[in-house]
Amino acid sequence: MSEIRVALAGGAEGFRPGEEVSGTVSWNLEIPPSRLEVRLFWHTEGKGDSDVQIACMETFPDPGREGSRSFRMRIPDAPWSFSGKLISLKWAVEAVAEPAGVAGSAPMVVSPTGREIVIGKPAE
Amino acid sequence: MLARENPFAAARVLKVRYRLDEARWADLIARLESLGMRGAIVGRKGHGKTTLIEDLARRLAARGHSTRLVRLESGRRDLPPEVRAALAGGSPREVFLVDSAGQLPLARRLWLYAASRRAGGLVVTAHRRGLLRTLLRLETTPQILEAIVREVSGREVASFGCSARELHRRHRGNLRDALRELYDVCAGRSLARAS
Amino acid sequence: MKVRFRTRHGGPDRPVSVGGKIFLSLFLSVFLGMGLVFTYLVARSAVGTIKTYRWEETPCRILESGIREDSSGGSRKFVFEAAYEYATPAGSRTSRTIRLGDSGSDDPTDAEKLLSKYPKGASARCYVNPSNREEALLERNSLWSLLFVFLPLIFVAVGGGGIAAVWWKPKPRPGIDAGTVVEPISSKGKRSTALARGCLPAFLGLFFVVGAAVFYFAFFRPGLKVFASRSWPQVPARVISSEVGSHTGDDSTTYSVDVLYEYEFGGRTFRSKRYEFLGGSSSGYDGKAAIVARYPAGSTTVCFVNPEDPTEAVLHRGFTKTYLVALVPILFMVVGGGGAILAFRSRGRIGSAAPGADLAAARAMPATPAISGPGPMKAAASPAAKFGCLLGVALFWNGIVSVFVWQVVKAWRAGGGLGCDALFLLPFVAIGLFLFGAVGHAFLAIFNPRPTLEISSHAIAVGGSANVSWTFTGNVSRIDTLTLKLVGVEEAQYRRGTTTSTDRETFAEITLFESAPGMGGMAASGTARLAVPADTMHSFEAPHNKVIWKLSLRGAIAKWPDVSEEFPIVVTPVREGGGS
Repeated sequence: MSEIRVALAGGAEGFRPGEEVSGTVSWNLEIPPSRLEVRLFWHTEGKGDSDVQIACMETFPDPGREGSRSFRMRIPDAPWSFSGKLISLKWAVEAVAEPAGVAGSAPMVVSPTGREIVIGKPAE
Repeated sequence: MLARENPFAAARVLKVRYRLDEARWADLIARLESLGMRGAIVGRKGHGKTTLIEDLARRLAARGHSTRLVRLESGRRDLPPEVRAALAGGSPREVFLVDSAGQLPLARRLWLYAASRRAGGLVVTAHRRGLLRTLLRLETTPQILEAIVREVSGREVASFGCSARELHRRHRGNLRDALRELYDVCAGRSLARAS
Repeated sequence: MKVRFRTRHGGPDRPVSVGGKIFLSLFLSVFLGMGLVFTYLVARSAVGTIKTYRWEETPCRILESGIREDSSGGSRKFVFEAAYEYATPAGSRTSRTIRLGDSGSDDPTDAEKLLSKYPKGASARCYVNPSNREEALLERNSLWSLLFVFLPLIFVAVGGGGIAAVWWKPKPRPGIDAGTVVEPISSKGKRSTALARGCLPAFLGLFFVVGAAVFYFAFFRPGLKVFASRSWPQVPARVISSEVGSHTGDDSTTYSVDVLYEYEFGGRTFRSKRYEFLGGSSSGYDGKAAIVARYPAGSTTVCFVNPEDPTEAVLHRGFTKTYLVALVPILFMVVGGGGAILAFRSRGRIGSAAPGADLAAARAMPATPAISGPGPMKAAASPAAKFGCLLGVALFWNGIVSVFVWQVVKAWRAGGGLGCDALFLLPFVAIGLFLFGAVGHAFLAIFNPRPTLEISSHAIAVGGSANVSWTFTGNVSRIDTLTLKLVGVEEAQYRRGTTTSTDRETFAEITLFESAPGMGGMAASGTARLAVPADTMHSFEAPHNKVIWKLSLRGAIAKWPDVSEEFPIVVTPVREGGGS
């Protein structure tokens, strides 16, 4: 069974804008991909349609059926991870084996405090 | 409840697939084949047309058909150029599935129906019957709403302070709007303020 | 049948069969051929005009000059004729050519102007062809006429472009293949969802430019003349001929007031055909016939003459109802200009960037203000703008509805009864009345006291602060209570099938200033401290999701529309070092 794992250095999850995020991507795939892309991106969840934006990407051509590589990318200074009643913005590092599209990801939080910003007073 | 925790967030609701058992899927595809791979999925807003046509595209692909799913964005009054080009050029093996074809102007719809005769097939979704034979007319029920709510939230509709029957009636069977109201209930918003 | 559809849409579809392609190509080649022929003719004339600008300017003497009336073509034309003598190295020569390709006009004004300019015995300057000195001109054609070359090029573009589109085979892009693996979340960020919006502002801008040009020539310039003619002297005139001119077009006939009259000014007799400054023709025979009846041939009347240019005269120098029609281009200007601005603004918004997008693109920040320092704030929409927009919508709506209402009224007056049509129209009329009510409300709001806000910094960081000061102009004592708030709003847009809906949720509402009831008038000016909470979200703008910050200023006025204005602000992320 195909599997891709993304591990952030030190198991960290909270990051500050402008910091570097580093880690390791390891894969074990049934079919060797033509390339492996490691993407630092944010996306929204909530009542509206999702918006997705890739901030940074590293590409490993012909990575083979299995292997492991380290990555390092700089986080932009915005947008920050936040949640309200209508919108949640989440950051993650996702590794995708192309062209099959097999993927694995690691969530992360980007804000000045390293914690998600909560706006409004959501009811329980 | 925060947006990311809300069970009725758009991304989660979009993962709900159309509820047809295997026998009805087989009937549907058999009917489509008997109609020469041409037909319309008819239903009002929020009755699952988009979901069904997406699922139908997957089913047809699994049966070896070459499929092309065309999603017309809200207000789009023409087919994408590459689709027009493919249809005009004749794609005898390709089945075109056009969501929201009803919003195309009549002349463009007529052209679509005519041009697709040389294609592998044409399935459209529309709010009302048109020139294509109706493949399936979609209706929703309070039971379907209840089942979807249970699937996405793991809870009964009643636990959100209203009955499935009442919610279904209030939104005239539009499940999308009903689920959006439940989003607001979970978010602690008093009223749906869609504009 | 298939070919007919394509012809009608003119889209980039390829015809189904080679036969269809050939048919379309033949059809389009007519356009192309006509375009090429006309382009050649206009270009040849243009080259001739350009050449005359190399001709030698030479002194000449007008031997004789006059205006000839030519009725040979079915309609009366006024042709300026002159003979002039000029010197060449081989001796003096005489020419009768006035301009290249000039065959006169049905309006005598142009001929009268030339006659004034070139009276018999006057010294003037003519233009002599250096390679053939027998050839000379009294006037050169304007270089503006060269712009007409572009007109037939439109036919060439339609014909040539159409043929290219018929035979060009676009490379089909792969569709959404069903049955593939579920996409990774970030893959959506790799797809470009941006529509081809670049052409839209240009197209709408063209609408504006054409509207503005038509407005200038159809209303503005004649309107200026109306005012200028107030000081023109009144002169007796004799009507030579008087008739309603009939102009048959493709699908209708229009009429014009054709009154030819002559008058004396400065010892010379002039002729003119101008009834009012607004030229052209329009539908409606009776009105023109009534005017013509007031000026029978042979009768005497008065006209108004421009003392600086006596060739210019007019019988009626006031505004008429026809000028209202000439205001129609304003609608084009509003639609074109407003649409172009909106379309242009929407271009700048973030789409889903390509892979490897630069970090700046990933920030999803709304456009930062042009100035980051202190300065006045711009309201989201002024009361006058709101009134203008509402008025435009109300006029547009009611204009269309009134056509149908008029038909119903006409049928009713003819004894046909009101019937179902009237019932059907009722909701539309009700909406029209509601719109007029809203226009009235917006109109009253124009006379409200107007606030001006100044902020010490236009870019405020999360956790940062700024000073906001306001002043009112107008009768501020009418304001009962005044409130200034900092408001944060989440905005989410959802699309599925044919439905689009937008939800908004206010997540922050911080009162910066609130007057006591009845004391709003005392707060004609003031200052408040704006502090953006440290634990909140900065402004954010993505295609479907936004975080919007704004200042909301409300002044309650009893029995009158309230003062209600919003001033968008941009809250930026904290800069490195935590400074704001």
